[in-house]
Amino acid sequence: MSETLLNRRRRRWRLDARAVGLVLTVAAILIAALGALIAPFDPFDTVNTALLAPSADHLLGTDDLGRDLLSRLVAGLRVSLVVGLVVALSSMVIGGFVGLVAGSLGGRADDLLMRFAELIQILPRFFLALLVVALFGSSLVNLIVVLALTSWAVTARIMRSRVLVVKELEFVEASRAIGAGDLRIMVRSIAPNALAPIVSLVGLQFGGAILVEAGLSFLGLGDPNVVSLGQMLSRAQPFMRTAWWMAIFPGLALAMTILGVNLLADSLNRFLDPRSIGPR
Amino acid sequence: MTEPLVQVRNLEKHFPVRGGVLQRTTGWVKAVTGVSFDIAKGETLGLVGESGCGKSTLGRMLVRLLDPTGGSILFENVDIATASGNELKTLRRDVQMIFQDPYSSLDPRTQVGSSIAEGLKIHGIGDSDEVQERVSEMLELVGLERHHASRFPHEFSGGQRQRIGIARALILRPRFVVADEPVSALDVSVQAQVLNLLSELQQELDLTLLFIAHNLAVVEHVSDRVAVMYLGDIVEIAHRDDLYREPQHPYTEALLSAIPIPDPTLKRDRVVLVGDVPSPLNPPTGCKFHPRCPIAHLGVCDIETPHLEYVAEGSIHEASCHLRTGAYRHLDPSRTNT
Repeated sequence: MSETLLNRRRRRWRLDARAVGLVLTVAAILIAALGALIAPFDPFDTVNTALLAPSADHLLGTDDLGRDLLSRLVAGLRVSLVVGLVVALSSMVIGGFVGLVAGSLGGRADDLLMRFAELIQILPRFFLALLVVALFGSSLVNLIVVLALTSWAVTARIMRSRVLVVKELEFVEASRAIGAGDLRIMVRSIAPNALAPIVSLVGLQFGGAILVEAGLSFLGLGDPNVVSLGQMLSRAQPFMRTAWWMAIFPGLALAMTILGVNLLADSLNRFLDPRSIGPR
Repeated sequence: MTEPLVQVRNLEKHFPVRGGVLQRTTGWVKAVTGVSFDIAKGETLGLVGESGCGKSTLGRMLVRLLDPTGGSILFENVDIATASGNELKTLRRDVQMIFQDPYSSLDPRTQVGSSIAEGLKIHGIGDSDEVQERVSEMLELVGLERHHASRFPHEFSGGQRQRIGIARALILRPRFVVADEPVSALDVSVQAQVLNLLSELQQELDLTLLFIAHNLAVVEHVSDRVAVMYLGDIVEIAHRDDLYREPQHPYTEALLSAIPIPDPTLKRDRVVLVGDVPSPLNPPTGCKFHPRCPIAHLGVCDIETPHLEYVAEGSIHEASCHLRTGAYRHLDPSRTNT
């Protein structure tokens, strides 16, 4: 009795998590994409008096230089989403490919690729990013490249471990018995069945990448030519008591975006499973 | 016996055992040790033995899912054991396998129709209409319906899944099929249906079958001839009726006496084996069965290795036992009268 109640409550929670993830993610994307409609100001221009509280003219108020906070938030959110998306996708593509090849081929190729992945994994991402910024200047592209090239290793390991499980299943043998070549087996049989856990991971990496970018910008090491949520938070520090909106709104945007993407990726895993669709 | 379709000669499979920090080969598991037999066109050869005796390894070599360590498998003048490239690919059309576990033998993310059609696509047979037509035909042939092609494996029961597995194996019109315990994962009530389907299809499509199982009753039902394996060797091979009526090898006797009789009033002499199957890593010397054999004669059985020999002149019944078929018949304590 109590057990079924618990189950029901658990199921409802999961449904809610999926809905919350979807709403937050869609909201973040909409705000980034259509933000110009609600905030028509140039994020770099001083458009009014500094430190105005939220009002009808400036929905989220203005910052210490009199720039419209909503316009800046929209621009910053765009940067965050681009960083997260590019990094997460390249991590999925590179890591998925490396893991698939390593797991399927085994032997020397596997050893070589995995040792290389470990090498990448022991590099501290944040400080590597710092180093690159110091050496090559702080541009958004540099940052994205560094994050993309360091985040695939975990994906590769997880993909490989799934591939090792899947490739021993009988349907893979069945394909081989029918005459399928190694490449066909890797692409058609193993890859689709090993991909699911990576999708969840990609959500985590999406959030991770956004945080690193925000962190660097917070320290003043971000790309000075783009607006960043981290940089906005950094600016807000001296005005915490006088202009709370400068810290609260960018912080909320950052937190909600990461939360939403994580929840969504988690539930996406369940959507991708054919056992949960179809007539039931 | 009619002409053989498959001729297996001295087939061996040894798996390396690696150990230590450097992963060096420290030993070999001799899963199959020099097995020879023929399978005639259109017949069903049953292959029985305990878990781990090498029967699945043997079956997987016959369809070349495993590369043999030695020996040959002649299929119409082509050696399955060494074929490669295009030769092997052509061979795959003729030689197919039905798998044991209907749950893991179908790709959960692929529609059943695509799974069945995969063979046609790989071998470039037919355009898409033709492929669809043949998949539908095949589904009906195994007792399913056309519209099942667009469903996913999880929507089917175990028996239905096994039918799908059979359809996938047979769509290329193979002539030789290895069925590796095709019913042991199924409910007893469904086993009979799948077995009957298999024998119907065998008639209809003129199939030659190697039927691997550990259930002697099932093997008796489907086989023309039966081979018994123990620790990587065939110890007895005979016509089904001969083997079940007059087993020659003591191991076969023990297996047969373990079949339950569905009549509580009947009693029989059980030959109960003691001990476990020895490790194939370090098999016993001489006859591998001697440590568990109720009639073993020390001094002979633990020293000399027996080979398959005909039980009698002109018979096709072969067994590998010093005391029953070999030169030491006179030592058999249980058959002093022969």
